[in-house]
Amino acid sequence: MEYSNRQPPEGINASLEHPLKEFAWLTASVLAFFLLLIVVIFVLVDALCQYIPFEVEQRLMSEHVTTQETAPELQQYLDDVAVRLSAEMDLPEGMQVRVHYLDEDTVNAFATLGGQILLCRGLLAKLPHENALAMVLAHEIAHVKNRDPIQGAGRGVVLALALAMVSSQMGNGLLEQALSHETNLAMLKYSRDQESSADVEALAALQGVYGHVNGADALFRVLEEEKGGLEIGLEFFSTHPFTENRIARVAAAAATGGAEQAVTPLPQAFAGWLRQGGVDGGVRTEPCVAETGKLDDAAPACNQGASKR
Amino acid sequence: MDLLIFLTLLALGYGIGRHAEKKHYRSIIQRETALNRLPAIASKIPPPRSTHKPMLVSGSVVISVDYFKRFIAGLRNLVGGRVTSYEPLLDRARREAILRMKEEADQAGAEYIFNVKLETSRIAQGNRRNSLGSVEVLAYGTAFIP
Repeated sequence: MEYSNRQPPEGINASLEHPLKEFAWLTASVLAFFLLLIVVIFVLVDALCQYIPFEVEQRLMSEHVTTQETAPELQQYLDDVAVRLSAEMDLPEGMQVRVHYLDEDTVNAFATLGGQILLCRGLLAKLPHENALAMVLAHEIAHVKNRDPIQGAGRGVVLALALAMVSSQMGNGLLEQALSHETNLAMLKYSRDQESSADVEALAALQGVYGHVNGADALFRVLEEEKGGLEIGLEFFSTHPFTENRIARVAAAAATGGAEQAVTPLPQAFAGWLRQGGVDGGVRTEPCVAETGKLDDAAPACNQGASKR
Repeated sequence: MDLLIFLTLLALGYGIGRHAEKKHYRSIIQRETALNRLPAIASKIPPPRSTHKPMLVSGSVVISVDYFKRFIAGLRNLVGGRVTSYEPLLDRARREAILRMKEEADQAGAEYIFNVKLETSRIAQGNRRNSLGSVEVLAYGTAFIP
């Protein structure tokens, strides 16, 4: 009998397909699945977070936000404006806001969990009159009223959990950040719709308190000046509505309800209060938000958050 | 940071693994062509009235999977289907084991090898997660020397 071996053909036992093709397919489909999952969870977070009682938010934050040492008159004045605005905005039962002064040069203000509103010295120093200040406060109170902070925090936690599945180090870091109270200022990025609706509510509150909305646009002009007019690009991709659009909204509101009424000036001593509370006065204050020497974590949070107004 | 390490390992695994695989396939095909003159037969029954001297010959090879292949196989675990990243690896291992067996038989001056069998065993070390990811493929048979 004649025995022989022939050369076996290739491509039967092992696929001849390029491995990168399979890699691309698998990675894309798995990523698409996880993205879909995250979107679904985001929708659920958005739908469910309104059922989280406000007291839970307050309890989360109460130990962690300490009011900075500041001029008592300034605190009194800010509280007073906030109270007048909140009265107009009919906040739900049990919801209160607390205004904090931040000794930061950043031109910014935040609303965070538990109705905490933080105003940076940099912004306060640039506001020309009380109406602009009221616009800032009303905008942030509207965020609190709409439960935007808890929604943002919820999304942050979910995103961090999802990331932790992919990269434990990155995910854990982010998760820690999301759960730690010092830095979640930086995590809370609100959507364009949330910003717009906060603007609308804020204008309504101003209308209620002052009888007109004149001067509200001054806030946006301050912010625009700060950005140096660098607002190129499509509004769709930016979290904040274009300043022009926001100013236009103020103008529209003014046309409907406002007469040619004068704006309310800031108290005479306002600039002095800022200096007294800040470094200029020589009174060094406690770090931004943290109580326990977490300056490093807290300080960048205020700077990073420069896009939230 | 660990994402960076991961991507580097992936790229290294792909680059080096792919290069080594192509090189190995070239070598396998070349040696197979040369050793086709020594047939390896799976049949248990040798030619009748043979006066050849029988002798046990074997060849074994241990191969390990690279990072890239392991990653693809991991993703494949999620969706199911043909694990094409491991297939060329085992294909190479089987052919290499048969070649080594043939080389041994060739040195002994064999005319053919009968009753060729293949065995695979997994080499594991440590816990399940960090296991070695290697297999041994053993080919053995009876060489007939005239």
